Amino acid sequence: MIDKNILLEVIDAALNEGGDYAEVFVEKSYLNSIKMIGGDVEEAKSGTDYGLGLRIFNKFNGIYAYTNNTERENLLKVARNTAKALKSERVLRPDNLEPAREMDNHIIKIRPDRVSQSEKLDLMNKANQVASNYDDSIKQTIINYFDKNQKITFINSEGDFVNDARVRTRLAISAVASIGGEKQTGFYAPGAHMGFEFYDTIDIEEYAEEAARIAATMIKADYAPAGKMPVVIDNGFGGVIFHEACGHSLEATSVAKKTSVFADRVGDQIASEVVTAIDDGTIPNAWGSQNFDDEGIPMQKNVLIKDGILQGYLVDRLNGRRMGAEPTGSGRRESYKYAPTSRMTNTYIAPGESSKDDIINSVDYGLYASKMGGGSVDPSTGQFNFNVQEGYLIRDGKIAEPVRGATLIGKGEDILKKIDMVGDNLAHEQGMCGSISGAVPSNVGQPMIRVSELTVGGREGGQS
Amino acid sequence: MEYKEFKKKIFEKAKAAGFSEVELYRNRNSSIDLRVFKGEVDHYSLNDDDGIGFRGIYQGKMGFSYTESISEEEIDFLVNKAKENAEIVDKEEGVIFTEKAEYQELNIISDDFGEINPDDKIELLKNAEQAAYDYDDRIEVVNYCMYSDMMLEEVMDNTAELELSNNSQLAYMYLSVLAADETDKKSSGKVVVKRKFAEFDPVELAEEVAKEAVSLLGASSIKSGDYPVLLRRDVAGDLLQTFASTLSAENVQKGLSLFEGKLDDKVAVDDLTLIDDPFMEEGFRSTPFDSEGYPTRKKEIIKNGILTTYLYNLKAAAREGVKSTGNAFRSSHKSSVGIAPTNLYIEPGQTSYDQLKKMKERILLVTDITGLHAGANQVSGDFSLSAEGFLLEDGEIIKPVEQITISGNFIELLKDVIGIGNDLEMGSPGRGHIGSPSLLIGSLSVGGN
Repeated sequence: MIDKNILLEVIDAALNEGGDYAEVFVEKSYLNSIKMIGGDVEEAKSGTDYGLGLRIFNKFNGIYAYTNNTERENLLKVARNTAKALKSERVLRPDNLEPAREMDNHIIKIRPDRVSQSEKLDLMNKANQVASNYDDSIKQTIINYFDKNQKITFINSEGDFVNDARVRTRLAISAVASIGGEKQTGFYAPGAHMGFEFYDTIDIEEYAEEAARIAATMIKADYAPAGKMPVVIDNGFGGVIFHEACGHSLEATSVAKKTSVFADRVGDQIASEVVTAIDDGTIPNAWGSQNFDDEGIPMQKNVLIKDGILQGYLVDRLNGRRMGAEPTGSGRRESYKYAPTSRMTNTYIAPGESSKDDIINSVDYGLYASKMGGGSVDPSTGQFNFNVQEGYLIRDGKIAEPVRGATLIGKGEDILKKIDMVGDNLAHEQGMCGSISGAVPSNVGQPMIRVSELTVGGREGGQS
Repeated sequence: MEYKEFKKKIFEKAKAAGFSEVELYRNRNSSIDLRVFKGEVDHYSLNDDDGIGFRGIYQGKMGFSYTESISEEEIDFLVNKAKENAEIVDKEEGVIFTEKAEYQELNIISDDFGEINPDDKIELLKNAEQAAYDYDDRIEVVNYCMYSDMMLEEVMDNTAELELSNNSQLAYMYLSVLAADETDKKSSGKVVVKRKFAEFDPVELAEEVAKEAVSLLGASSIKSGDYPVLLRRDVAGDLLQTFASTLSAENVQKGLSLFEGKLDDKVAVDDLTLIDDPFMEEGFRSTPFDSEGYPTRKKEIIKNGILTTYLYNLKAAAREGVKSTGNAFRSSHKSSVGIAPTNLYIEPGQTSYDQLKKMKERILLVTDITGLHAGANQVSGDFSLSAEGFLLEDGEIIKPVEQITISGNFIELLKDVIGIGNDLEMGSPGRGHIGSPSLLIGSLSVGGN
């Protein structure tokens, strides 16, 4: 994209005023998206993201700059201005570079930016047909198609030189059920770090039917009760609970500053013994996978919690310096517009031994969160909230009537200790995770789990 | 490549490819982001953004493409992709603004933030951080102490000879702290936006945020049930922001808005008026033209409780045979043309914040809500949100409250407003610049113990 000798000149200029490390990240991404509402294509869009991000470290300080103007003269100007802001005295220049490293752990067969928009449309029409014809209560459908081919070059003053391509595709299906002015939505959005062949590996019609089934079920449901109760959270997107409540607090971004409740606690029993949690950026073709992170380091499988004991954190280069820890292949960013920081990739609770029936049968009265919605957390206090997209009451060990509008709230530290049963049916689902380095694709996952007690926010009074 | 030359060439190529009308939207932004942590500069970023969105009408349908590389080779990409995209769009609803129009002149004065020494900006942050630590020993850490300023330039050109540009500058400061005692940890944060650097008061911001975090220590849950709830102005503003997209005519037309079929209906209490004002001096979304080049205007969306209009762009307006309200919105060259308010606020009432606290014997005062992106449904209006605040009796704080949810429905809430404060505050600008006075709600369902 840009001649590597120019990039070396930029690194050299960046270290002109000092600093002990510099890196450049060049990105050219091709994006396509199509939006369909009620069976009609409302808009189709294609674009090119292009720019360069530059970073300089001086011990524990980092400075970042980016620009879209990649003319040599402008890049050198940006590098010199950035260097001035660092105000450092030490000088260190890059050595010669080895040839660029490339890896091919995630095979891409059909590049989606080379598939015509009308072929993508066929896929969307299939999903729309199934969702809109599910039953009479489904009054609206929204289907969004997305693909991105992100090509990056990374060079730093330590001689790391990496080229990588990240190809991702995703189809999001929303079905809206409506009866008498009330509305409920059901949502599925499968995606992968894969080419257009992804859609041969899944049955998109099944996802469309599920989205419609959830909306059609919830529109007929009463409001969830409010109060504390045992909660069973099903596999797949249920993993968002670990992602939000615990995963963010294990990122070096908050651990290095000791603003995380889990700082300085490696070796401690922070979760119940049935909990093992993993972040694995190497799973072939998974949504949150890639060959290298955005700091030129190969992705890794990181065990975060084993049998309830904290093993380690997700660490990026700068926070690694601050913590005296090695980076874990966790440096990620949305684009060249963001300085990278430690982020999750594909994060999940490892499977346990309980069967689905054992878990449901163990609850006299509680909530079964069959499908979770989104949520958020304050990493400094661990306080989280999630909404339940599809929920049911459990009565006498059996799944009873559906309930809508439930929210789960609590604290990360507490819930980890209250997970007392873990199922054997691990599944992953896809999400976009937002944080200070932008929105990055990440998988959440878990088997079915039981939480002995959680606060459920709903609209109806206490236990009935 | 020069923009003028780029424009000339792409207009020619687009016409040759069969486009009838074509528009370019250029969005340039240079900004600085700074963060201080424990007296050290923790993040320092210099940003220089530039990008072009291309829209063109091909056989009556709109095609869209964009690039961040203003170069000769991108011209064919933009034209070809936009054409391919137009071909799969279903309806011939493409509109580009071709009329001549009058535009209101705005007289909004900002500092030139680029001229202010970055060291002064860092100093501002260091002062705020220190003031937060000094406020109380229980301030364990200042999590985020951030400053950002930006120069934004929007340029619009089309083949109907429209040539518009608008420049604006603004600066943000954000502070968030964690307070801790032996048994509890609580955080609090606030954003302040200004057009003049000298108007930032780091100590005032630090003390406000620190005071709130400390006062929440020792909070506990309360019994589940229905409570009168006072939404402090920032919380009321956040809730309004969450549901602002439901005012879009496009969402209404698609059956995605809780306001569908409610035009000219009573949707709120009599005293409630909701205003969209693109000319507001203190509004950070003030603009003479919208993202389609259409002139903006001020309007009362809800007037004395009656819903008088939705918000329109050209496409949504054409569908109903009405005029655009000048609310076309795109957040950048990459984004589609959607619909958003400009400066949107609930008109302040006569009652002071302190008076609102005393209007009921027992009130749940909510000072923070989270989970808005997941726990609020724009289609049904239902929300269920994690909340924090204080339990009040006769206007006095009885105890801080945490680990609760407040649940309800947005329209039911608007009809159950029993007190409107005189304390309007605008929030931080995003998809519209949105604000509210404090609102006392007759009853909301609270989930706790």
